[in-house]
Amino acid sequence: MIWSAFVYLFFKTVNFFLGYLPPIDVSGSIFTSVSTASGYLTSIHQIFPYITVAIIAIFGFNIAFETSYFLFKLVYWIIRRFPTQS
Amino acid sequence: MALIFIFGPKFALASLLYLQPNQPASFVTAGDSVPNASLVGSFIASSDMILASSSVIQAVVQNDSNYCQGSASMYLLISDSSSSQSGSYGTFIFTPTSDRLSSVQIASIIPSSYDSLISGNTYYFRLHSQCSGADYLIGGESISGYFYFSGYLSTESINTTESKIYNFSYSTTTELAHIEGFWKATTTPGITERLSFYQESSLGQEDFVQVYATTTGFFSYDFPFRGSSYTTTGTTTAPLLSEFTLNARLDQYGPIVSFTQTDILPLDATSTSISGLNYGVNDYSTSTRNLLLYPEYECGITSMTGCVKNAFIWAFYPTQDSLNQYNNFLQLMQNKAPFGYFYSIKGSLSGISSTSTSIFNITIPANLKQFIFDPFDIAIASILWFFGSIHIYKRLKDVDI
Repeated sequence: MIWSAFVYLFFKTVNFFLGYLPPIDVSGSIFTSVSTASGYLTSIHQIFPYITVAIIAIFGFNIAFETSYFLFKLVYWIIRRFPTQS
Repeated sequence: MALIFIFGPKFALASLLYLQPNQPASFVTAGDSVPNASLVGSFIASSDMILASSSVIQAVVQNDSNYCQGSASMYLLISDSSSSQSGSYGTFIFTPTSDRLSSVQIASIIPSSYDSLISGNTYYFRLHSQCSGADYLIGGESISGYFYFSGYLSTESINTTESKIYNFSYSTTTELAHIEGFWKATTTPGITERLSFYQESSLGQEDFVQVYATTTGFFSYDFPFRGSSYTTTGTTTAPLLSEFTLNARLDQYGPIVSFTQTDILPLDATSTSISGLNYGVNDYSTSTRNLLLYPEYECGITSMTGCVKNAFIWAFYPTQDSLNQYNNFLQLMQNKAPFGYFYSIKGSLSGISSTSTSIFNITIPANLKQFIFDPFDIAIASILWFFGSIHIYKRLKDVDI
């Protein structure tokens, strides 16, 4: 009961404010571009498999690492905005 | 209708054959004996077809409990005549395995002078059995079987058996649900046929299992489900569910259309409800389940601990509604900017693959590939990995937390 009420109220409130944000565009252009890129990659992969794997791995690591690092910095910045007792 | 002659042990089959297009469904006629075996199906060649060595015919018959003991075998004849064996191309023997007949290459039964099927002609498949020296079929009962024909070098492909669930049964003693059917595997990336099983009750959905089709053909699976009573300790009485439903679905999962959505095409579904009436007296001793979701204990003068447990559960155990609010929150966040774009990009990146369909194809001579392209590929990739490692090291070195 207690935990249920807390969880219910908390997420109801968050969902209420989240509802005011605009929806994202899911027209599928991103997925089409990824599918097309995968097609070209597959074609090149048939000729140069090791180069393709190396490029995907290095780019993939960069994107994943930079995204994670950015999210970490963002969350830390938000946390530092809250006033603390001193 | 012919008389039924029984020689030796009875071999009973199921009737109603699922056939390819252009073929009417037909029924096994009771009691016909070889060579007047009953007509079980016909096929109209829709175009001039040449049988390749890989052409296959697969027949499946479900036996009931009165299957033939000993040397049972099935004969399949293909002929251009509906009469007995006139014009028959050949016969071959299936060996029944778990009520099923295995596939056989057409080329092994077709004489070389009859390796072409003429467009517009009707060809007949016939099925009969031989048990302990006698040839007979017993019909008039509920029988089922299928023909699956593939491998034609034809401009037209023959539509084969549709993906379908043919049998869905369960046992309350072993607590296993048995599902049989037919499904297809494709080589198109992102397209899969999947068989899903789960049970549903007032406690929600449980025991969800999903199996992917890896080859085209018939499948047979057993899935465990939970019984209707709970495990308990002490002196409390085992509570029972009044009813729960076993569900089986066959769906085709298509390409991902968004980070949360996959195009799902329903192919077939079935369900069956189980109540206390379906359980025998002795089933309850083995049919127990662990307490799930919102458990309740017996509360009474003789079971005070149950009352205390129930009080704590009432106070602190979250309800399904409150947990659903969390799921709604996740769903909402994935659809709202700017958080949704992160999910979108993450989903897109996971779709990058070097094994999807090629946009273009380049054929390189094998010797050129071996002596020029492969060494070049390995050399450049080594250089890339070397400098990539240095880059990763330098980037990680500069991380400021």
